Amino acid sequence: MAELNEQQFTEAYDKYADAIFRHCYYRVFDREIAKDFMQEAFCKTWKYLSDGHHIDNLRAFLYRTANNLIIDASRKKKHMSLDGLMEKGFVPHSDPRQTANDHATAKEVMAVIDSLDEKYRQVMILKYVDDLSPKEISEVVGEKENNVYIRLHRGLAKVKEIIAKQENQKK
Amino acid sequence: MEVEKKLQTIINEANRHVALRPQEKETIRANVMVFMKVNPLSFTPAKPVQVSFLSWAHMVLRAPIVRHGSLAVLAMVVFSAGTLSVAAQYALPGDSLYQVKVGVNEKVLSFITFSDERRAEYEVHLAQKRLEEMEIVVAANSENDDTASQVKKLLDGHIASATAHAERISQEKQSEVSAKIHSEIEASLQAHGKVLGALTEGKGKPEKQKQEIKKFVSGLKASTGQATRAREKDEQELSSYDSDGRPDGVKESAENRLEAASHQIESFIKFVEEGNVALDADAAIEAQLAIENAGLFVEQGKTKIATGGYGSAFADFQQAMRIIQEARIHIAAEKHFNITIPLKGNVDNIIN
Repeated sequence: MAELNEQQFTEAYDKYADAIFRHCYYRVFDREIAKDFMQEAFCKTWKYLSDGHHIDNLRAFLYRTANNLIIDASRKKKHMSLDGLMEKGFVPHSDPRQTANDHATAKEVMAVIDSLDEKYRQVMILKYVDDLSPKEISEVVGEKENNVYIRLHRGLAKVKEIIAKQENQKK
Repeated sequence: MEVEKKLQTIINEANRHVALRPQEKETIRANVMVFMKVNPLSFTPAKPVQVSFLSWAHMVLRAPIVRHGSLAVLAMVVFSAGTLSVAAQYALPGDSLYQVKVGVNEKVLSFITFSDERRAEYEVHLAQKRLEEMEIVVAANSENDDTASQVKKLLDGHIASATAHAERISQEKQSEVSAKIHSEIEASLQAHGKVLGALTEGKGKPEKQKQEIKKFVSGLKASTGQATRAREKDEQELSSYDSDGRPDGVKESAENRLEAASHQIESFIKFVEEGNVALDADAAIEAQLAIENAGLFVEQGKTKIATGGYGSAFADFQQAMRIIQEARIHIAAEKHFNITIPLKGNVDNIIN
């Protein structure tokens, strides 16, 4: 990638801000913290560039930076359980016209993600929320592609269990 | 696979509702642009900046965060032309632009964080910067009579601010967050205090300046003690949950802290082994000791997790992280300033 200037980086913000925020939100389930991480990911990436470094893949770099921020912060405030979210008046959406059905859908995905161990949650979010390929995921998390495949496979198996349990509860 | 499709479907649905509000996106965009202005690229970009100054200024000034902050401060940044505030970022205590750096650039950046937690972390970061700046001027013998007191005043301000944010966090029953903040302050002050102590013994330093620095270091010890007491209070609060039957939140905090400690140790091992620093014999021994000791605290903590002592385990992981944090600061300083920091003081951290 040719060296970025300010305008190009600003355009990259416009393009990736929502995705990076969404990723952060699904990892921490706290809107304000997610905004902080998203903002900091962009600032840290810019700082890296301003220090004279080169970035080949800006999108992957942003995800990796956000990922590292989240891990380093070691979520002292535990990622909110669904019950905790509901108590706080859980509102992940931006559209006040959200229907009860929409709310239920968001709740569904939260329940699934919430139940996963962090090591699976991380790669599952990168794959299914952020639509990154296993190769890109391996760049973000700093692991071999093979390990990423294994974690995705195990994460999916866990999701299958959760979804089956949810469907049984509905009956 | 059906499960995969189902998961993707519900995530795609939910994604429609997990999004930034337009105003939020705009606010953060403005904040990022402010950051970009005070941290310009070090090379000449291929294309000139297309965003007009007025539209940028308009965007910054109408952002909600500005209305809650100091317009005067931001106006200074905007109208003082990038040149002044950009040049200031490299200023050291005693330089003419140092006040622009600490009074404008850093203040602006402090407005663009949202949570108590991030604000506290930013203040801790600034405290570390002050200590690093102090080390540079002491090593270069460029401090004047006022340097130490000027930096101490700024440092005390950052620590007080970080502590105030940590206190608010603690009152919200998030002792694990405030414990982390106090632990970072403690490790940083302790480590930099030793670096400054070693630098003070440098040859050619006038006796008066030596005494000023010693007074500064003595002040650091007092602040370190305060941070230690605050951290211990938070950790005791967490440990009390183990016997109170409220282990759930603490368990997750302990596990997160274990992950952070393990990651930090791995990162330090890479830092040492990948040749980023060519270590002399003493530094190599310090690094090895730090890795071993931190590892011992991690193992101790893991044992406690297995028996339900989550609060106590959290404290062990914090200790491991402080050991690594201090070692990293020492080794970087030893390399940078060509000094030796006595290992003796570091044995305090060795687990019994």
